[in-house]
Amino acid sequence: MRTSRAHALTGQVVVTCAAALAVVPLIGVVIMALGEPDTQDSTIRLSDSFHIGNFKAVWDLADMGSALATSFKVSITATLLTLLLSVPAGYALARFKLPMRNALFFVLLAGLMLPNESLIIPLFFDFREVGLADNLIGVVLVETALGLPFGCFWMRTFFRDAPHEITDAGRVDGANSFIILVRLLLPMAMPQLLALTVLSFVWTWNDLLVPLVMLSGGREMTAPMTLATFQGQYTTDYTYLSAAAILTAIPVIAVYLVLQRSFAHGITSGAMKG
Amino acid sequence: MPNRHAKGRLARFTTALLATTVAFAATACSSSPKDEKASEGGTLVVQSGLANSPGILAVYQKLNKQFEDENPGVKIEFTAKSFDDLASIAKLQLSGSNPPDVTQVNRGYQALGAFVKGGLLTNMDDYAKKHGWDTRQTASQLQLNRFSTDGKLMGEGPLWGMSATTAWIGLLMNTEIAEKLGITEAPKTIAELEDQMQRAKAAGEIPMQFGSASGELAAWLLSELLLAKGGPQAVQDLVFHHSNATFTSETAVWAATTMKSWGDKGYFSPNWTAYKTDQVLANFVSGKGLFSLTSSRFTPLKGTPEQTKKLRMVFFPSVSGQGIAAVGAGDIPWTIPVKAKKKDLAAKYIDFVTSQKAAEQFLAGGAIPSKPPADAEPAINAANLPVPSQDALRNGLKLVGQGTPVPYVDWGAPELYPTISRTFDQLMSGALSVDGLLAELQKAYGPFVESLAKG
Amino acid sequence: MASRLTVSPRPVQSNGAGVTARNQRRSTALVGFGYLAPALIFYGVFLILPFLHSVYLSFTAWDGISPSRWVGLDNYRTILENSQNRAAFGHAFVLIGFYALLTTAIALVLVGIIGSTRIRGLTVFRAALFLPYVIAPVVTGVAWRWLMAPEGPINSLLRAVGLGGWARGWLGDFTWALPSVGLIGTWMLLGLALVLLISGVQRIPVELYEAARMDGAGPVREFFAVTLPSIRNEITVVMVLAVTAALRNFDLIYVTTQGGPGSSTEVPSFLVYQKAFFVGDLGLASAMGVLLTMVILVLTMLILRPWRKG
Repeated sequence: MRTSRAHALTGQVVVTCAAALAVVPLIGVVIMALGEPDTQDSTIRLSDSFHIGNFKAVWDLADMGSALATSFKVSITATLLTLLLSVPAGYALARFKLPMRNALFFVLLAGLMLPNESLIIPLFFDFREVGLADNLIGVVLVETALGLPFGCFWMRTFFRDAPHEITDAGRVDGANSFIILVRLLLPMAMPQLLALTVLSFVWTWNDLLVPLVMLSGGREMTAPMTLATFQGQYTTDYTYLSAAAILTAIPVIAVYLVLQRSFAHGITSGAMKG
Repeated sequence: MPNRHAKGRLARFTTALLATTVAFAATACSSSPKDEKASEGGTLVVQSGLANSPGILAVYQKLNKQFEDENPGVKIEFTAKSFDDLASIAKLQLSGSNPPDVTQVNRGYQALGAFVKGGLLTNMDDYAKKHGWDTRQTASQLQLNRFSTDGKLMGEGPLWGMSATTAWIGLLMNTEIAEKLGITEAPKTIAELEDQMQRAKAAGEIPMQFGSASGELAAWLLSELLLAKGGPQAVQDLVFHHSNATFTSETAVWAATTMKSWGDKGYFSPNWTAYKTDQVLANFVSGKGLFSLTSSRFTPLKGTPEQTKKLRMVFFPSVSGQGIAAVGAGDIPWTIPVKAKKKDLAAKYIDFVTSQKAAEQFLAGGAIPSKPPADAEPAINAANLPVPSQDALRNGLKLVGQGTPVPYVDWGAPELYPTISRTFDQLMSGALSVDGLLAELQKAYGPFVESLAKG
Repeated sequence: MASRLTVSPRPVQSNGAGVTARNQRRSTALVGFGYLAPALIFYGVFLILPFLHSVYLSFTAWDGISPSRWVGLDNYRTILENSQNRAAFGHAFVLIGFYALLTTAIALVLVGIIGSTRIRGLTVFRAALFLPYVIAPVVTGVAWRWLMAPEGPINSLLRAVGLGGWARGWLGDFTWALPSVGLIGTWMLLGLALVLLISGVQRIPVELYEAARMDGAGPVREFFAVTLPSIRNEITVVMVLAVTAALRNFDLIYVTTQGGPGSSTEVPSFLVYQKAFFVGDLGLASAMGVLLTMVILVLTMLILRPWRKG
């Protein structure tokens, strides 16, 4: 038994170290962001006072407020659209006998492999033709489409595994498929919906390439775009850069921490089924 | 799971979901095409590529305020990008549907020429006539902003942009380190420069503070060395495609060999491939390095008076030590994208920042205006600028007045700038030989020149 | 929920009512398509059409301004013949080594040490371990550019422990820039890999370990005989995620090295952007994007193959 206790302790130590490895660099960034402002110094040191003012300075210098607002608009809209489209699609793929269903599903799934890099050139030029370039709607549409393959797949898995007895009972009561979906199935799908919400939000928020190209006019900037541009301007002002990086990351970290269980559920079981 | 509760929650969730989607779609919709109101009012979007020149930007901030005061109802939205960021985004922006109203773009075949060819910029001839720009700046200043409409001939045809300031490339020198090494004079010839760098190296000082993480410094060094050996004609021939110039000439071989030998002898600062331009400057200002290479557009340098007072900015030496020449030209010009929404207002803005009134403020802020006052000395003295800024102004004015400003060599072909910045590091690391470097440069240059000639 | 990697869907159990009239079945199918159509249309218009357009563009020479010209396979030939472009794909494979192979190897060693012991407070640890994967690559890049700066914390640490000779500008060093980017990738993915593998191990029935112990297996043999085969699926998933991340790392390259120094960190995803929007060679850039997609597809298939047979 002693060995097993020693073993348990080792396991605990290993996991703790791994977690520390993940978090320590980020804590370093936080300390750096609170350091002496406006130096070109990249050494980290705990100064006697925390310069909270760095965040205010960066907020003004980089126009962070409007960048965060833009990112929220894009991420929330794209996430909601992904949910609205994925739920019925997953339902159809799991519960309806459709001709070519497997083929359709496979085509959808292949979208998981498509890198944005292979789409961005036509998207930019085609969207320009129809006035969707330099337009948040354009970004929302693309981000939604990029989220759909996983969304459809994820909801399909849920509907496939959900107990059929319930829907059968509903059918006997004369409910149509929409009532069954909304009244009987979706109430059970809360964990899945939350997981999909947090994943799409995080993916959309974090993307750089699509907004960088689609919003190149420079009138609207997402938070990651702003951070990248800010770095071009304050290349070596590591205090300010750290503060800007934190401002960019905080909304995602907040959403993630609140919905941590859903996120883990989505990533682990979602990935396992993919 | 308690199903009944969940049901109520879900109904609310679904309603909320639908409602917010619609609401967000609506705001996203309304917020995008911002303003297409009266052409003379509203927001003028101005984009600069001088993010790393805090001195000049400060002057622009003042000018913007004055412009807003003079034009009630106009609000200027001024954004500043680094030179490299501007270069990489400009083509996308200009071909997009919603470019800035006024933007700086780089010159040469990679930028201005390509944009003119694509019909992405507004021909400024009429504005020039209207506002009298052709008399405000000299023909040779305006020439660099001219391009034939097909984008084939640089220096000829309509005017596409206006530069408000002038920038030149020179050598920064730390006099404190120099004195310690017994160096009393700035180097006049390349031999003197090499000798002084050698002495610094022997004394454990960094001979040349340098960095190639941004492409600029490598392109400047190459241009300056071509100039040092071949004189202004050698660089001009390459840029304007005269006299069958090539990158395999004797001059080019010498320039590349010299660069390589400096790298091999350890004249550059340690880790130089990791440093971007402003880190190089910061290192130099903090007292590391006898020399550095810089553009006057970065002066006034960041740093305490204590740090900057021992620094000077001088001309890069030549092989012969004769004549006054340096790489220099009007700074990246202001242009009006063809799809800009408020062209007249944009032209008015350009007129304002190139005016005499603006010139005085640029001078006071340490930047060389494109049209300096006849006697700038009183203004320079009154401005109470740090020493290297005064050097930048005085030597810059001397260059424009009595010497020969020479264009940047990377203007000569679209792929030269990225090729120089890539192959320079490869040359230094030994991945490319001198011949290999020159072959790559010629590959980026020769076929392009031929394709223009063929039509 | 049992972990299952099957891509092909399980046949739906016939739901209720048995066999009915044919037109009723047809109308059901119509309703089903009604549910599916919005997503399909969206997907088709904003993903499939652009991709097909990209494939078309990859056979043309186009600068985005003048009319495009059909050039057949020229762009692909250029990519394969040009050493700079070939090198970019080589760099991508080096990065896969760091993102996928190194990450998986480290995670496996750690899981081997942890074994089947229950970890206390796993939820908290999981939150921390996922963090590098959750935050934007742009943020990660900005953070690591500072951490790896010539005078930054990592070099300070090296100097403090007497390894000052190792201190260097990691992301600007000709030899070390690519491995440095790779290590950032390892950092991003290690936590994720570890959590996935641990959750796999915890699903292994205790009886399997007991049986192994009964046969006199030591910890090492136990790992190879029980743990490793049981978490094969999880390893596959980690590999797919990591390989994809390694090939789609435009964001990270854009904010850390921009392909430099020289061309030592140029990768296909970055070259697509640079060739398209800086140089203006849209045909070549499209071909690069299509090739990148093909590499991702082929590698994913290769990784997924073993379990398909099993």
